[in-house]
Amino acid sequence: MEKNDRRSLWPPIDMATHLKNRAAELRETKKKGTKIIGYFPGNYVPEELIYASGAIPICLAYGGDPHAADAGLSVIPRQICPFARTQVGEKLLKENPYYDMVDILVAPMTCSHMKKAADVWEYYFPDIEIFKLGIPHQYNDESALEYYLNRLKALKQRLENFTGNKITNEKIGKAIELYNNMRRLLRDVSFMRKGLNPPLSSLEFISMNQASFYADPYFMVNTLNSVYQELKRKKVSRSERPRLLLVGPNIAYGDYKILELVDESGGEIVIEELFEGIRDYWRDIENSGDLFHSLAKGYFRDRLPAAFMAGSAPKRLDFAMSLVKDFNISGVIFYELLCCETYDAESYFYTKRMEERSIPVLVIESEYDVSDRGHIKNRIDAFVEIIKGGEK
Amino acid sequence: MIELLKLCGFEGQELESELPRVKKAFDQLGITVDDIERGKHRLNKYYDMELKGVRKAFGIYMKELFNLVLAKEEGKKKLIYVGLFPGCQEAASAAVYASNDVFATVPVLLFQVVFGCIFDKLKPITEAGEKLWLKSGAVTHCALLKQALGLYALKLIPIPDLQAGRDIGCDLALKSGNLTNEFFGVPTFLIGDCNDRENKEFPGGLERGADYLENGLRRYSRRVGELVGIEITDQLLFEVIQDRLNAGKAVARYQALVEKSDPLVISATHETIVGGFFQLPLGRNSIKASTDAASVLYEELKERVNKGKGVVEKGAPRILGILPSSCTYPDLEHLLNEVGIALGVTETSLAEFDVRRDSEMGEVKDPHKLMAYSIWQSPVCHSIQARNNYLLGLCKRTGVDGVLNRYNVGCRITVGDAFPIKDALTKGLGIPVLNLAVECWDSRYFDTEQTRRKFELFRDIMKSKKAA
Repeated sequence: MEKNDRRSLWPPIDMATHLKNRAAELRETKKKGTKIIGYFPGNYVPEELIYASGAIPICLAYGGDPHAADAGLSVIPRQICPFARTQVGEKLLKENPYYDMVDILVAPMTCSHMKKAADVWEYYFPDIEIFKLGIPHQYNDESALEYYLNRLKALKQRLENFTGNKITNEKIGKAIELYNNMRRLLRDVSFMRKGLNPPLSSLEFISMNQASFYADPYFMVNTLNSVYQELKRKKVSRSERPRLLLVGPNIAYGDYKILELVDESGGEIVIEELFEGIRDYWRDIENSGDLFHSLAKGYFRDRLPAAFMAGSAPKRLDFAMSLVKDFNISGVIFYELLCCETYDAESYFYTKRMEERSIPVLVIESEYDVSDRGHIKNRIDAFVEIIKGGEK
Repeated sequence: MIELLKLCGFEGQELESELPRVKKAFDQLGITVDDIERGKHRLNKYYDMELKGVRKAFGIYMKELFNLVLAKEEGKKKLIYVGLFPGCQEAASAAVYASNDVFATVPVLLFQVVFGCIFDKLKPITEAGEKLWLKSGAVTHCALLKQALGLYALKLIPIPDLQAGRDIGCDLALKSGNLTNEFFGVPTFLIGDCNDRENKEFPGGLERGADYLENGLRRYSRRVGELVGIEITDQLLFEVIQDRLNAGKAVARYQALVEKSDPLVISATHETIVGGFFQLPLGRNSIKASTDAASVLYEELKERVNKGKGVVEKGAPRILGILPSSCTYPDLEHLLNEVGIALGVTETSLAEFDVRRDSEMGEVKDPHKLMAYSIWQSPVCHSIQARNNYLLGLCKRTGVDGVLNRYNVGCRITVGDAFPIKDALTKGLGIPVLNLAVECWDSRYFDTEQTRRKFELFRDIMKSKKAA
């Protein structure tokens, strides 16, 4: 098998140290009165608002650990997906500092699973304040946009009351600028994988992207900038590995089994289309005019609609097809979590439509179970071999 | 066939005139002589067929099913299918009121009652859905949606001109509806809805969600009006609302009687058969027939109560059932009676949304507002805390000895509430709560012997608590 030689630039030592010490640092900051605002992933909670309030946003996106997912089973049934159960399990276990330090949880009402995770948090952990951010499931509807916009205004009010800081337009504008820089750099790095010699692996890119949920945003931007410059200079040999697109509801912080197995099998994931767990970096938020409207549009309407949105499947497929073309993709890994009913239904649609265009799709389900590694590996091995055979 | 039809309330002239239609419909649906024999046996086993009200109720589902199957053949020009959730029915009903060219229904509910409860013949329909995007297995897709899909896959129902649903938070209904559009060309409409109320807002937080739903309902009425070429006026909607309210009151009277009866006067197997009408967008005559069925049943049961007649012994442990009883298979609720448990109180009456409108009729001038607010006031739709508060109050008011928490594994909206409900009720009342994972739309999930053991233990715990 061809050895993958594109490792080592992520994380740089200073970022690794920063991330290692980040929880302790935040705890100290919290002692001095700064509020820590946790939020559930899916890219529906504008971090800009939290940042502009003087609080620190932390995305609660851990997953992949069967221990935490199983801990959740004591209060939430198995039919709720392992990622959502993990969000409850981590809190119950009291082992993860991030889950223990949040002052408010902002819970976007995205899929049924994350809604339930929020409900269960609210019931079992009444000492943590919760703000439920309504996400109407009609992304291209004006009244839905207005509903979301009004809820963002209510969130602003809640954050102001909680932090005692006024959220001004100027502060929001600065925050948008900061996070736009982050998005742009992630985009620049990610798009380097369009070439035949991708300078970093999917695991590296996802780790980098996820670091942005926890690291200090200014430090993150600076680090991304220097990593990007270095990647541009890096010489990488041409990869002969089959180029793959990874689609799915979620890659949690720590759920890297699928990425490792694809790599071991000789495949190369060169682009991802994921809903939760990674920062949406595909476009910037408009930083002029009515900034609340900009945030609402950017986070709700002008993005790729999530699978739970009405009428989203064709649009999502079109986007995936554009990735297939732009990134020269030979196959699709559709990675879903067990009991994620929308993605499971959508996998049927993707498979049918992609196969009509002669693009093979492999659907993999995970319950964060350590025992499924072997059979998932076998399936990926076979898939990669089939693609290789087809390419000859 | 005639015997079956008589069991389902068909009589005299109507029986004769309907027979050719019934034969045609049964042929198209593949109902065989064996099915009919099984159907008669099941009706007599699980239901009180000696009660005229019960026979009439089954007859309404039968007739609606025949109307659906023969709709195109009999010249209906527009077909509207709607979802089960409150809010989907009224505008479609109004269209049926206004035009003989329109037929509206919830196909899957008709099949669940007729193919499920009566014929026990739903399995091939469920499996047809599983062969498409709602596969079987650990993902536990909702069986109701599998059946709705299976009906199209097996071509048991015609493709409608509109399929409408409400975005109550069921992601799969929305997704499956979209894919039905992609693969079968079914035009869909979604009534916008969004719930983000927090526990601490209870009982408030009404306006933002109700106003948003009101807007969605208004657009839905407009869409239906455009489809059938008739304006769905406020007056027309109020007429539907009033008729449904009358039916709701009749059902509420029946339910209040059941709730207080000791011995339990009728099995909970009947609950969704009598209450299920509220999920259908019925025409004028059918709504009146459903009111009549509930009223007749009420009078018959009153007589039974006076005679002290019941389906379990007097003083049997009484329980509250969470979520409505199954409208697909009657085995679970029947088994409760077999082991001597009286399920007389349910968390949600299917008529509750309609009945709630009573106090505001005449005051609220906009029918969409009236509908949206009555739906939005339901504690089941609010938050876990609201649901728990409501259940605690209901248990106290009715003095039940235990709670059967039937949590529906295929339903992501309700499944996650199971443990907090048990926690709150156990701590708050000290009564036993049996958490039972069910798939209320799929009898394949039901294991009689395993469930019997659970029910027997549950009964014994309640009895010993009572004795203590």
